[in-house]
Amino acid sequence: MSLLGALGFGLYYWLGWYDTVLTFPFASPLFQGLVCGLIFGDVKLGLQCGAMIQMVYIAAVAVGANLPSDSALAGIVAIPIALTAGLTPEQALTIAVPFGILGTAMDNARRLINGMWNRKAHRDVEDLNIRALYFDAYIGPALVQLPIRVIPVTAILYFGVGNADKVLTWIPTWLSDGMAVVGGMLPAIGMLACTRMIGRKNLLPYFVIGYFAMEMSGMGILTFAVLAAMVAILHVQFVYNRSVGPSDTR
Amino acid sequence: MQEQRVSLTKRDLVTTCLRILFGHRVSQSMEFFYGTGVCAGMVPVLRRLYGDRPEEYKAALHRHLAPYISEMTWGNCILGAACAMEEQRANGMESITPESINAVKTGLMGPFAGLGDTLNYFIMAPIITAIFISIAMNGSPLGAFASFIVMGITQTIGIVTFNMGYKLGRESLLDILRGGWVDRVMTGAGVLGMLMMGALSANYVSLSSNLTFTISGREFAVQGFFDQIVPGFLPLVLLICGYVYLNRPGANNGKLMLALTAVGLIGSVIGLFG
Repeated sequence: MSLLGALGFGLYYWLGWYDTVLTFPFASPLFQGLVCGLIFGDVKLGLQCGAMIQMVYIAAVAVGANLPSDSALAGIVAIPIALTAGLTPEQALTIAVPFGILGTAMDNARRLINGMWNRKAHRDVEDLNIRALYFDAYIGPALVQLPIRVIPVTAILYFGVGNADKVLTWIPTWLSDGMAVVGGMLPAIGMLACTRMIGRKNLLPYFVIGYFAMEMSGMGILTFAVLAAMVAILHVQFVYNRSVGPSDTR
Repeated sequence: MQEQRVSLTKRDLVTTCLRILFGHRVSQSMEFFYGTGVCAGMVPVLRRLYGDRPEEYKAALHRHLAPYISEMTWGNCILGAACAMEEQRANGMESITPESINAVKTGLMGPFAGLGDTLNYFIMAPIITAIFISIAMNGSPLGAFASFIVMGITQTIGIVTFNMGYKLGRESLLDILRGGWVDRVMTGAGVLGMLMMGALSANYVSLSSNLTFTISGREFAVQGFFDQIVPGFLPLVLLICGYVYLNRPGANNGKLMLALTAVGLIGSVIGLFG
């Protein structure tokens, strides 16, 4: 991959992490899969890689101030490598995961540095300097992030993409088979994280019901969602069988 | 009735609402959370209300620079209410002190964080994402837009609640939080979430065994047994073990990831999994 191309991906990653809610969807592995698929000419594989990676991070939400994993970094590194080297989506997944963990370090660094903009904002308000306040709130933090986000991704892709072929020939069969198994297991982490966050351990039996219902029926997920919503409505009716008041109408 | 000294225009409110919704995270930090972003977002409103009184303006800006963290879409009603309170204060209502405005923000930000995070990010987003993942796995580019749909929904919620908060003000928000419906919604969402997590796990977690035994000369494949009697047995065992592990003190997702990688690799090599 050319340096310019790698730089392009680095900037894409930075834009995704500008952290206005508007740009974050661009950084989702699913969308990265589409973009990379278009760039490298294999949309189907791109989408599949993106989907596999997105699956692991389905519960990786920045709750409060904690980022459990950086799905954007995982995707922006793994998907171009996978597409240029013709890897399977499962192999892309196993490349993605370590980078996802690495990314949290980057984000923690960024948040530490942002403290300085917050403190400057206090001084700017003291001077009633609104333009500086806007800079502190919207532009400054993103500029400081530029090197943190762009340089690592550019370096990894510039050196990683061309050499993925060589690395692949070194990988013995047992390792790639093993990676395939691990790839199937990893989405469990995302599932469990979400389940735990929902809390309400008394509702866990529904998890098992949902699991086997899907396992046995293989019905479409959308259909299942509708049925699940119906069950939820019924459950609430059975449990709360006294009406609260005029504000509660069904 | 006293005539209003200053009134917030629709444009002030819309600008503030959108600035907060889209700009609150850029400057987030561990000490101040979204404080700077919220303050910068409130500028249109505060400038309209206090622009001609520099000391009041400064004081208002300072109080909104305070550390603030919540879920910013369902919780945008808090800031809408804050705007309403500021407007009343600017028009001479002495009873609305800076302390009371801060109290509303800090008091409500916690409950709405719990409500909003659970509804949006642990239930709604995974379901929509999963649906789009299926679409993407089949090769359709439409699947890539999952996050955009989620964002569209959450930001719309943010706009609606902001207006609601502005119109209803602080008292009604407290009533809503205390009322019975929040509990029902959370329970219903919990049921839905659990069912969906189970179904998604069935679809996306996979583990099967290559193990075979020879009993009285006949080969007996363990996976075949599982498929007949309890389909999806191994992934479910994996999920249960993972869940039990995560409930122990000191557990975290990173360690679990390493453990799964190790188990998967070793299991594959010794021929247990495959």
